[in-house]
Amino acid sequence: ENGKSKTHTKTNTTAQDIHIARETAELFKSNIFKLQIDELLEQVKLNNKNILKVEKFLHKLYDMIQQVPESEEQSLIEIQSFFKNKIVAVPFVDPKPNVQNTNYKFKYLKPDVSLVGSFALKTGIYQPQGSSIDILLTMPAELFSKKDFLNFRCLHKRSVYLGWLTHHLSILFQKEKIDSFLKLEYEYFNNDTLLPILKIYCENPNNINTTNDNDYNFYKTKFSINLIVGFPEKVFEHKKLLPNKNCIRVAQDDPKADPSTLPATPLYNFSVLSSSTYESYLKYLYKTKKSTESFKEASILGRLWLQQRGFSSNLSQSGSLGGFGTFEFTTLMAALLNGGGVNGNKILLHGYSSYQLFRGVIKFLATMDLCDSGHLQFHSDINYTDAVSKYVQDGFQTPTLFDKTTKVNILTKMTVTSYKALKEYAKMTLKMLNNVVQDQFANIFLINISKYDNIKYDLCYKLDLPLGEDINKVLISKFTPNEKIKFITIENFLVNKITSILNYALGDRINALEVELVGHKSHFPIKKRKVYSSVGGHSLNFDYAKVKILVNPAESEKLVTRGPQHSEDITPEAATFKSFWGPKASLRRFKDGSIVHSCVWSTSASEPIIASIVDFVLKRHITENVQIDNSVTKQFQELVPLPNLPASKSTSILNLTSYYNLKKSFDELYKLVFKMSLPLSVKSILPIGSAFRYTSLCQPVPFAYSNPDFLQDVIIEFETSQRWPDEITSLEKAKTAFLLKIQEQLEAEHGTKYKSYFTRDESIPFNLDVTTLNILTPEGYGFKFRVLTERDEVLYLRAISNARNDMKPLLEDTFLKFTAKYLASVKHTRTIENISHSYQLFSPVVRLFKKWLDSHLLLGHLTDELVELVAMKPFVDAGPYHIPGSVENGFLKILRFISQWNWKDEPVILDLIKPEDELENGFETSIGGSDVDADTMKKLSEKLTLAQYKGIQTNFGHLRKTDSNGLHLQYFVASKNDPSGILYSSNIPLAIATRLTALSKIAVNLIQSHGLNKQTIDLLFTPGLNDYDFVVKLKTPVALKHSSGIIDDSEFRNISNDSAPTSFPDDMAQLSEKMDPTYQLVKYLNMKYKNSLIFSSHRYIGVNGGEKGDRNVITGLIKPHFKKQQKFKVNIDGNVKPVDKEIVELNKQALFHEIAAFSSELVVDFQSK
Amino acid sequence: MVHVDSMKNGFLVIPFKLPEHPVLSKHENGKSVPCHYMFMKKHQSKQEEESNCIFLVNIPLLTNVESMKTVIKEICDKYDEVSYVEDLLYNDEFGLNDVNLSSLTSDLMSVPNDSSETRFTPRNTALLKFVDQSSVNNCWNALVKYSNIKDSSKFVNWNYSAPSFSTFINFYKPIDLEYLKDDVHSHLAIFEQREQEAQ
Repeated sequence: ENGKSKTHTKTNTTAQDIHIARETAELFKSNIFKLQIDELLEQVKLNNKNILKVEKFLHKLYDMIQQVPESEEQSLIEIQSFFKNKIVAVPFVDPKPNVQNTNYKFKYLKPDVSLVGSFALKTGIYQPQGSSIDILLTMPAELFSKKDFLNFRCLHKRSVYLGWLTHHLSILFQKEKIDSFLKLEYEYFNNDTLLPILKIYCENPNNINTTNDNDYNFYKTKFSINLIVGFPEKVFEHKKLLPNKNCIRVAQDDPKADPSTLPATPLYNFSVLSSSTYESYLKYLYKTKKSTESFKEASILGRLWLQQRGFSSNLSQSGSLGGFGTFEFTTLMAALLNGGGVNGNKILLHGYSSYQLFRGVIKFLATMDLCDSGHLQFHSDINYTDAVSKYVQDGFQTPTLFDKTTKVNILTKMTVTSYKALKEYAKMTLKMLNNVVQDQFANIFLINISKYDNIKYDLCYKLDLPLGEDINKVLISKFTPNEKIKFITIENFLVNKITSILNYALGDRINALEVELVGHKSHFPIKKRKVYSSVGGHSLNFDYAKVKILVNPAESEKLVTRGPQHSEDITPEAATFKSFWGPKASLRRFKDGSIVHSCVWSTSASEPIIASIVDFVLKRHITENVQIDNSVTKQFQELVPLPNLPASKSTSILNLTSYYNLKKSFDELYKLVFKMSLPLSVKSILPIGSAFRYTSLCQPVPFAYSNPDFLQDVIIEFETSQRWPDEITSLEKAKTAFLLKIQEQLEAEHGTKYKSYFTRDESIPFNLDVTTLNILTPEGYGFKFRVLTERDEVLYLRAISNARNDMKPLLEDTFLKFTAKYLASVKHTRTIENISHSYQLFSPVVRLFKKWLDSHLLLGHLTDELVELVAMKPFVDAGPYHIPGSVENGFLKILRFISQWNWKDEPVILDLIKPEDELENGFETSIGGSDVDADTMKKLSEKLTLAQYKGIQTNFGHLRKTDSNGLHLQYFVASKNDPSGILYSSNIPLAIATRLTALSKIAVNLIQSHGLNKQTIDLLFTPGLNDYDFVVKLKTPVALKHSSGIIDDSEFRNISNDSAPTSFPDDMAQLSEKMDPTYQLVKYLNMKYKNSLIFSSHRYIGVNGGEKGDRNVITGLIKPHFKKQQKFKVNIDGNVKPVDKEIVELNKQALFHEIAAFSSELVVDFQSK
Repeated sequence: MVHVDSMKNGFLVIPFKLPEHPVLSKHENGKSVPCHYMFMKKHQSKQEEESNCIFLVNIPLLTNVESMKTVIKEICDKYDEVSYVEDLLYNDEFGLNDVNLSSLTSDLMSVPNDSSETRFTPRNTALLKFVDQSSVNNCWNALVKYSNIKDSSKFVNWNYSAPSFSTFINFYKPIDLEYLKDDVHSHLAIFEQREQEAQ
């Protein structure tokens, strides 16, 4: 009984402890967050001087608007004749009014002028590109009749009103002599072609020939002014403009038909209705701001968050992420301060801090559905005190934030697609906000993720529409009157069409999709009626379209697109499926017996299936002649080495079969070794080779023994014994004795199938007695066995304590190498193997990254593990981006990360876990795992705790205390597997580390300034040999490409196979004939000239050694202290020549002769500076 | 280049003419004759095995006792001196033996009184041991004269013992199984014997 209660209390305490710990962490975090927010807000504050400056002009402008003369009532004919030969044109919206049908009159009366928007609310921030001030000019109510909301009437009246105003303002500017620097331009407000406004800005004084610095010139403030012409409140009956009403009557086949059968015109209705609500929202938000202390700060946070993700108040119907800008954010926040729960309960409280308000809005966006299954209602009426916002569990299949007062759906400008994207970002951000361990502030607010499409999205396709007539035929013919009133512009129609075709066709293969009209213009000169586009070669308002996709790698490469079930009578779904896919659709019987309408696709090594689908459906549904450029993806995928395996060209980049085959072969061998009777029984056989974790640069290919990774490392442990020698050489000899026993038994019992031999191993410096047993399997793979005993660690540690002080660093390094190779490697392999099933793109991405490093001659200086951890960063620590879903995306994100990694001050701390949503799922036990059981695996997969995280940070702090500039150790990369952070990155020469940083910076700049194309991608993978002090070109007598298991995309397998081995030689000594001599050459050069030179070369000459794999290059860098003359010392350790009796300098000539002599029969050229 | 025959700290500067190398000669037109410079000094030591030695600094690639014998003989011949080289000590070009893990983990396997285990010679240096005192003196006399030669055409040639393609390939070759068995067996036998003696 007692025992029971004890346990009970214990559990309680633990739970409580965790709770307290978590709360402390959160409190700590929100405090830090608060400081970061304060600092950020200080940085983005608007400059008061600038505000005063622009306000001076605003007063002047107000006076001038008052001077604009009022007009008589005029007919359209009179208006047309008035504006004839004037500089200013009336910005009539399409379709422009014609004289026959226009019997209403136009008139200009003085407007009511007021400030609206963020400038009025004082929630604006400094923007490097400048910001705008919105001024509302409300047309007097008497200018309208009740029915003017119909058929563009009020819009045309507004256009004339705006034209009149513009005309007279430009005359007044001239009169006041301020026209030399003030510029006027029409603009579609928020990209809404129904809402032209007048924009006033100042031209750069350097561009104009005026010397007098006018008081009203506000150029330096970077402000611009929007004159928005609004309708008076309640001039039209709001109910008639509800989103589901039709307000553009088009001719119907039956003239007597009921207008209610006409399609709804939500965009039009919104445009009209919202033009009369600017002031009510200003009041609504102002009132909320007054009652909520942190409202202003929170709205600034919202603005930044949205901007960094590419969201704005622009119409998303014309492409890009829009419909949700600061106005929508603050309105939602205001609504949630007045309720927002299902029962009207308050989601946000007025006393919340800016952090809490921001977090609350993000949480609401992330967790509540405002489209399919629900919507939010609120009241913007500030006098209606009982107004409560309410979440209603009923969706309109369109994003809805409905204002009961004005009948406006605030989210009208959002498409379903852009809403989905918003929700996705909100979810990611909520996760970041919930992360109490890592600091996510920069990820949430500071990183502009929409700066570069190829980093934000996985795949980007350029769509060129054909020129001229064809466009009319294919597109304009489909743009029927009903479509016109629904979509307003043909561009909106096209975006919608592409989006819906691709969404239907791609389904769950993608996570998100965005269509952008590149070159879409929203402003035009005041002498023009509207935007006339001359780009793109067609009459449409854009140059070309860009389709941007976030891939769902778990589904993207599935071969079959499954449609509806087959049935006797064809269902509407089946009919849609068949007509959509046309000849691609067929009936297929599945294993469960069901017969389903399907499309079957084929995989390819160079392109994702998505590319074939996009190509097929756009050609089928847009036009046969549409040109889809996806060469970037193709080029990147073709850079990943292609294995010389059957059907490798038609094998998906995500396919890991070649690795599974190697593992299967290992499994067989594992069973044999486990069964052997040895003096000590086998405790575990642990694979540690990179192929076991799918990261080897070349995929495993049977008999491809020239591949440097051909022999895959394996660690074997025996049951515990006291008898292992207590001295290192003898210990290694004893281990060899065990391996000899294994070899003997294998030879005796399985000698016909397995081959084996011993080699020396140099992975641990100064331990010259390590031998490994290399076993070649009948399936054509090779495994390298090394023995680990419980004595090893003790002996290495003993060596450190026995060593002279000046030798200690060398021995510590030896110990690190041992730990990395024999101990940490097991955990590393298990972890990467386990989590990479959830990060499908990791394997091809890390392989491409390794290839990039090797093409720049850096890979030889870095350990596989370090490279893999760095490459893992964009996967496990993806924020604020998505987890990479394409080879190019993952690769570019790695480069971007390295280019920005300030390793001197920043540790990399990785949480090597699966994506959080998947963590609950089971853990597969991997092969050979006898002691790493599911429980351990689970522990490995648990998130880092705050304490662990802080511990690692402390380790970094200690490291930098003694090496503050990172001269000795640059890359601190830690995880739960290696809290020390230095296991894989010790001993990288400083020059190599800085070169990697420099190269990645160059690469990122290159891509950002020149984009991705054939030339830039080629350039990315071309080594800059001119940067080195000397270059030695080598040629090996035997070409190694095919025997490394590599084949070119253009090669035929049957031809190249003549030079690819299909079996192992009988004499194991012959294996070496197809090994890379240059690797040994460079290794020994680096050993000899350790103190004065750094040599680099391609590690994988099968991949980077030219067409045949028989070329290599050695580059040499002279270390800085040997670049200058120095005093002669006995321990100078460099090949020097005397300058005078005291001073010597590096004897380059002699060095080059030595190197050339050492390179012996391999050297073909030697270049030096 | 100014001729320097010796360094301030007493090292003689001993130049060697380097052989032509086809890939270098095309870039070397007009440049000075390529030479390697070794720095040599008589070695003073109380230790028996280090007597009769000349201390060498900056040893050319893959130097062994034979290559040293050849050039020393050539230099001595120039001045009619007779000198016999016995050995080249502590030459560890690739730093393989910078650390002796075995002696750091146990003293069981160390050779009694083997001073090399504790001896510290900087990298890129070695001791050239002569058979007797007169050999050292004769050689030194010749070296002093040789270091005064200014005309590079009169320098002694140095011939690198360059590795061949198969040297590098051989690193991949299997260890001979019988050799490995014997090695392991005999080593462990000695180890056990020493262990027993120690108890």
